[in-house]
Amino acid sequence: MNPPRKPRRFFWLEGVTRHEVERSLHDTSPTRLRQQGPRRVLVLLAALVMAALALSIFITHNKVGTYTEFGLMFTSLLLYFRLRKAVRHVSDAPNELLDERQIAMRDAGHTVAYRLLSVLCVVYVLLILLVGPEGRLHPHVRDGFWVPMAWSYMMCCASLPAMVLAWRMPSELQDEQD
Amino acid sequence: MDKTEPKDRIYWQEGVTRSEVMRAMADRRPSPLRRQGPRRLLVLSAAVVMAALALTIFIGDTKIRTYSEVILMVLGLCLFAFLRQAVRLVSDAPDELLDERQIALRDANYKASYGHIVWVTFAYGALLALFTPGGWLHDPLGDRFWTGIAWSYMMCCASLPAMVLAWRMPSEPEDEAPGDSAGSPPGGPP
Repeated sequence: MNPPRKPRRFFWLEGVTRHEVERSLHDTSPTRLRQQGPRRVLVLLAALVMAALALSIFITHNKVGTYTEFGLMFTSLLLYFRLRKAVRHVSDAPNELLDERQIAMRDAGHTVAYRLLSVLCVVYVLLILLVGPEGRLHPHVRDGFWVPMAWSYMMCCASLPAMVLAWRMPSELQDEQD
Repeated sequence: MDKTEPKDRIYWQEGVTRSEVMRAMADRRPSPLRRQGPRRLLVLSAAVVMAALALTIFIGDTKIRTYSEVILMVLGLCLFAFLRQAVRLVSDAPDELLDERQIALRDANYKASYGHIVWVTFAYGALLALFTPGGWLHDPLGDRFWTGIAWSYMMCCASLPAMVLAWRMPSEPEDEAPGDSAGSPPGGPP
C-alpha cells in the first residue's frame, strides 16, 4: 500500500511556499493594504518605478545612471513583494491552496494581465528598436542600456498579475476574514 | 428611447468581432482542426515558424535574411489565424460572448500561458543579449537589426493562448453539436 503523499511545501513554479500563502490568507492584522485606495496607489507606484527604470537608460552620466538604476531595481523588488502581500498571494498561489472563487479571481486577473503584457511587449519592442544599434535614439543612451530595460520588463512580467488583482479587488470589510 | 443593438461589434482589445465569434462557435462543418492530432501539429508548426523567424538573425546575407523574414512572418500570421479558428476563438473572445464554463476554461488557459510567456521571455532575452554590444556573438557577427527576434516575440505573445488551448483541448465527437461535451470548450453562443 502506498503511504500518503506528504503535502508540498514549496511551489517552485509559482514562487511561493505553502506556509506563506496560508499565513497570508488567514492574516487578520489590520493594514491599509486591505483597502482598495492604498492598494491602487501601490499599483501606480509600481508602474511608475518600472517605467522610470526602463527610461533610466537615457541618463548618459555613467555613475548617476548606474546608481539610479540600482535604486530603482531595489525599489521595484520591494514594491513587488508588497503587492504580493496586498493580494494575499492569491495571484501566485497554486490551485490546491485556493478555493473556487479565489481560483476564478486569480485566473481572470491573469487574463487581463496577459493582454496588458501583450500591449507592453509592443511598447518595449518599439523602445528597443529606437535605442538599438541602428535606432535613432542610440546616441542618447549609455552603454549596457539593455540591463535596466530587461530588468524593467521582467519586473513587469512578474508583477502584472498581482497589480491587476490589487487594482480590481474591492476593499475588505474590517471584521471579514478571507 | 429604443436603443438598437449594432449589427456587429468590434472588440478592439481582444481583436475579434461579435459575428466572427458567433460564427466560429456555431460552425458545424467537418474539419481536421476539430481533432486533437491535427491541432497539435498546427501548434508545433507555429512554434517552429516562430523559432525560425527569431533565428533568421544568423543569416549573414542581408537580402536572403530579409526575404526569409517576410516569408516566415506571413506564414506565422496564417498559422495564427488557423490557430484561432481551431479553438473557435475561445482564447480571444470577450466574457459576454462566452458562457461560464468557457470563461473558466479561457481564464485557466491564460494562467498557464502567462507562466509559459515568462519562460519564453527569458529565452528571447538571452538570445537578444548575445547580439547586443558586449554579447558573445556581437563581435563575430557585427551589428544586426533585431526585427526577426522582435516579430517572433510579438507573434509568440499573440499566439500563445490559442496554442496552449489548442494543445489541451480534446477532440470533438463528430456527431456532436458544439458545446454538448463536457470536455470540449466550444459551445453555442450563450
